[in-house]
Amino acid sequence: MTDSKFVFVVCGGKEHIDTLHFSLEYLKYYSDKEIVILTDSTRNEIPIVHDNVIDVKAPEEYDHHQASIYLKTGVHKFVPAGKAPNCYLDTDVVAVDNECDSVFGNYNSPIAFCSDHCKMPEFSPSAVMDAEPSSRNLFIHKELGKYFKDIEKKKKEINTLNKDFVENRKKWMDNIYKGQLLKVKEYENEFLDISWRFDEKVRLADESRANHKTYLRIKRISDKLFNRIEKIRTFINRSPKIRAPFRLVRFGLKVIRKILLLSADFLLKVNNIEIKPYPHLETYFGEHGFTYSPEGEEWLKNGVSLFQMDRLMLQYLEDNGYSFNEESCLWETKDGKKFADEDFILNLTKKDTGIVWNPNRNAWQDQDGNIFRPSRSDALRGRIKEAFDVNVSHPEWQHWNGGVFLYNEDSTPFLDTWHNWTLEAFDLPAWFTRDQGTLIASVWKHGLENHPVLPLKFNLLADYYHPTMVHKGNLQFDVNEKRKGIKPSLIHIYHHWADKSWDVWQEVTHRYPKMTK
Amino acid sequence: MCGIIGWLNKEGEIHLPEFDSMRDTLAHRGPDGAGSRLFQSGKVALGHRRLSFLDLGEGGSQPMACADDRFHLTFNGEIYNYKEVRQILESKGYTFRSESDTEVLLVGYKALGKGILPLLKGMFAFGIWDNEAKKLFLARDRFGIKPLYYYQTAKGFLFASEIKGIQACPSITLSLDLTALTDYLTYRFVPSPRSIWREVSKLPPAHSLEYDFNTGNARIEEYWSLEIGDKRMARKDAVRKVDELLSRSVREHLRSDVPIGTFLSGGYDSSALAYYMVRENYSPTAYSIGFDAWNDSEHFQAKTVADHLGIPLEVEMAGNEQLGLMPKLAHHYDEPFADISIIPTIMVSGLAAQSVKAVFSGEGADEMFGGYWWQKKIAKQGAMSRKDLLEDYAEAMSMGRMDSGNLKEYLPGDLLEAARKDSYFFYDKHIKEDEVPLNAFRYMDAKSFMGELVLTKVDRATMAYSLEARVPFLDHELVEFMFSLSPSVFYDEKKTKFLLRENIKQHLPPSILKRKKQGFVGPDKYYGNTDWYVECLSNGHLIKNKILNRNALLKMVVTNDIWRLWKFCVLEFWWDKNNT
Repeated sequence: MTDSKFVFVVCGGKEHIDTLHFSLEYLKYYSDKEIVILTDSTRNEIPIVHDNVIDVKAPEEYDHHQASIYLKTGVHKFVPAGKAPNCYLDTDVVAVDNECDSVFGNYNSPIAFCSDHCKMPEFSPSAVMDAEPSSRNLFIHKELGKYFKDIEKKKKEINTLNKDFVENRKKWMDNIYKGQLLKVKEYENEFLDISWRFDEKVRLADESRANHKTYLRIKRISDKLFNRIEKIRTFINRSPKIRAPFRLVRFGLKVIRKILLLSADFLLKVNNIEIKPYPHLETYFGEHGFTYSPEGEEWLKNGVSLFQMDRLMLQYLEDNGYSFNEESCLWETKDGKKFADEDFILNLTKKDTGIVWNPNRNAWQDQDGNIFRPSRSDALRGRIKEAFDVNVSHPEWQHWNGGVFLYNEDSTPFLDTWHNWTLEAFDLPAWFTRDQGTLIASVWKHGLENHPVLPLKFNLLADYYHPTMVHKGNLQFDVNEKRKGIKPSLIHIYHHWADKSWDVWQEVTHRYPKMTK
Repeated sequence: MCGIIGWLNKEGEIHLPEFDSMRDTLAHRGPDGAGSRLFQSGKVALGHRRLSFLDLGEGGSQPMACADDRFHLTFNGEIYNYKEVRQILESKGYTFRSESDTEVLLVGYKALGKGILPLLKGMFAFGIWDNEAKKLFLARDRFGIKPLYYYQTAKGFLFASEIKGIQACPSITLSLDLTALTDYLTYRFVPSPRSIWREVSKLPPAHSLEYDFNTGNARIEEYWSLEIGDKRMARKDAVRKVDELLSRSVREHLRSDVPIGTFLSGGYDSSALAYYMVRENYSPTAYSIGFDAWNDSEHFQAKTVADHLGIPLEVEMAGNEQLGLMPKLAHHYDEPFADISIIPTIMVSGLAAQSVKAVFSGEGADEMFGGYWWQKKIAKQGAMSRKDLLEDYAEAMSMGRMDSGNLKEYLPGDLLEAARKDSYFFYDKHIKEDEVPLNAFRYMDAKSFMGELVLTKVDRATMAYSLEARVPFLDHELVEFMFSLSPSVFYDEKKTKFLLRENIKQHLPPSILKRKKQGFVGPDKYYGNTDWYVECLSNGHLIKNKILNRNALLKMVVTNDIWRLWKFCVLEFWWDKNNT
């Protein structure tokens, strides 16, 4: 009896073999199982670095993509399994913990796949062409096309306006403002320096007073007295009949308080602590040659206005045909054309169409953050019926993902069907070069539509664009409301492979075997 | 049930053939006969299309004149207590020439003037021309079961059961009321007194109007209002009282010289009516609509009830092809009207009309007995502010909210200028903030949801096929009794429509009593066909005439915003029909 093994399939471009090398490194580290690479080495741009490679010549008429699919769907012939199942892996499936080998214990004969991350109608446009695109899809296609053409036009217009605006601003900086710049800078720095010294003086005086215990004691008594005086005042106001005697008491307390305050000041003087450490702000700055003009709301020195760069620039821009719209917070031209940056355009598309371009996800998304898929379609079911006479009766059936699957000797009839139909589909004009549509056909042909699937942790599709998936950190995921806290052992990096800005990728690289060792 | 029309032309004589062709736009409301009469040297005309039930001979013909030729009546509806009112009038010395309720109304008006209105039980809209005082008197029933529209300008005055009667007048032109159009988008209907046409108004339910031909002045008055009480009584007594009032109402509604059928969905209300009819030894044929390939299709339950009661049931199955009825609906509703059950309602009406002239229909029960989900949601709430009540009600009613907050997304600027700032003015008008929230909602339901939407839907759908819908739950004494009760008497959180349920629970299959409430709307997929909306709207009048922003349509399609698309689609068909 042969042992279970992992099988990768790769052929063709360097980037695919690089991906394989990355995943292979991880799997070697985390798994105790034998790992086989199935390839057509005549097609490979770089050699595969591994000691267990099976080389199979794929039909020459196939391109590299087709050749890979040929090898993958024929894996049961090229890397046959006995009773113990083998596990096929796409090259972008990465082992991230020691439990990856437990996948073999989850095998259900005659075949075992994981669920895909979307439903059949969403997948359909990637698998086959629509025979008759729905009115909805045609409309969206046409209108969005038109809309984005308009947006592009608008963008260009805005960019031109922006460019003019920036140039105008630069002109002011370079030519008009430049003459005053040095003098203004000098005065501004002096002003800031004086301000700092002023603040420091105040801080030190406050600190000295706060450290003088006798002074503080007197101050506390004086404050208490002040509270008493205030209470008496309130009391007198409420009860006019007894006003006279209490007025006298209040006056007495006021006198005592005054004496206390004078003695506190005296104490400070004796100890060389400033009683009033600063004069009025304007006087203080006045001593250094700065004056404040209430009319212009500006500080001046020798007739030069300080801190007025923004105002002067605004004035200049307004004089040159621009105005700032307080409501929209956007600049406008005199004839009301708004212009700004990309956000303005993005918000516009959201407002106009209900979808917005998310540059971080590189996709259109709706207002709930879901990836917008305009071409949801039922065409795949029709194409399967047409090509293979298989009736997929459940339009929303949760199809399987082909990235990871287990097979053994019982799988041959099923995998033969898949292999043969996939090769047939290469020649069908309405079918794109993929294997997942024919996988659906094979499943329903063999009556496996309700067959148990592998736990998600053995093929967690970390889809960069997944609408609901949340990475909770440390490679733990909430896929949706029902599937929470999933810790994958085999993670399928979907889109944005090697994107260092993606936290999922960062986590994967943290688990790099050499680092963890 | 009939079609009524009148024209008071201050500019000259009315050409009778012209008037008759206006009248005959209402022929579907009364295919059994027609009559017109001129007064005031031909400057005043009354017309009538007759659908006869009682006194099938000439005795009931209209316009009907009283013996001294002073008062002339054109009347649409049924007075269910006409025998009792007649006895009162006879006791005061008035005599009658026929057995019709029409004559009772006419003689009653002659005897009591507008004082006759509080005595009337039933559904009605009528016009009476006083040939001596040169005044026209119009009135509409308490709940708005029967419609009445009028047009008033310096040129004169027109009234009709449906707007199309007024529209057909050759000497007037109507202009689109843009505020009403935006109201429609908010409410799904145009709230009274406005109509979609600036010059045409609706007479609100429970109101009368007196128009003086000489001065051209009109005075509108409310003659009845629905009071909310807090009466506490033993629940078993309340159950008994409901039984008594409902039995009597059903008995009175069965008065007819022709057979009456019943709409049957298998829900509480229609099943209760079928049961009460059977209890009166009446065996109606029941009519139901089913939906293809839908497990929750109500015709299954309707069959259970019909078999249980031993009455025949006729069923018609609906599929998506029934969306083809939209042009017909646009014709019959005259205004854009986006209730979502208009298609099944017109279908079941067409089905029933093949074999009967009148049917029972269960409108009003949910409003009275507290059966709507939004009533249940609010039932436990303590006092709520006016703002919160409005907000919750608007949300419950919205089916794709469109108000001053978001209309600008859909409409171009010039149309927006016509939109109200206070989008929910109509709910605000009927809000009873001092009542407990459940009662405040029931009241708004009666005045708004039922009075403006549900009853209009049923009237137009049934009348499209010359079928009279009778609504026994809307016996005003039963309604008044139900609204007089404290919620602690009529409402039970665990037993939907408790007072009704207690009366029928022994007589209907348990599966019916356990059913969750289901609107008469069909499966969501029926309305979820975005392709259909795109085909309807993408090159339609609304886009071409800049009523709907193209980008807004794109957005609704992208986001599968079905209910807003439905509103615009209804408006599109209406626009197409009216060539606005």
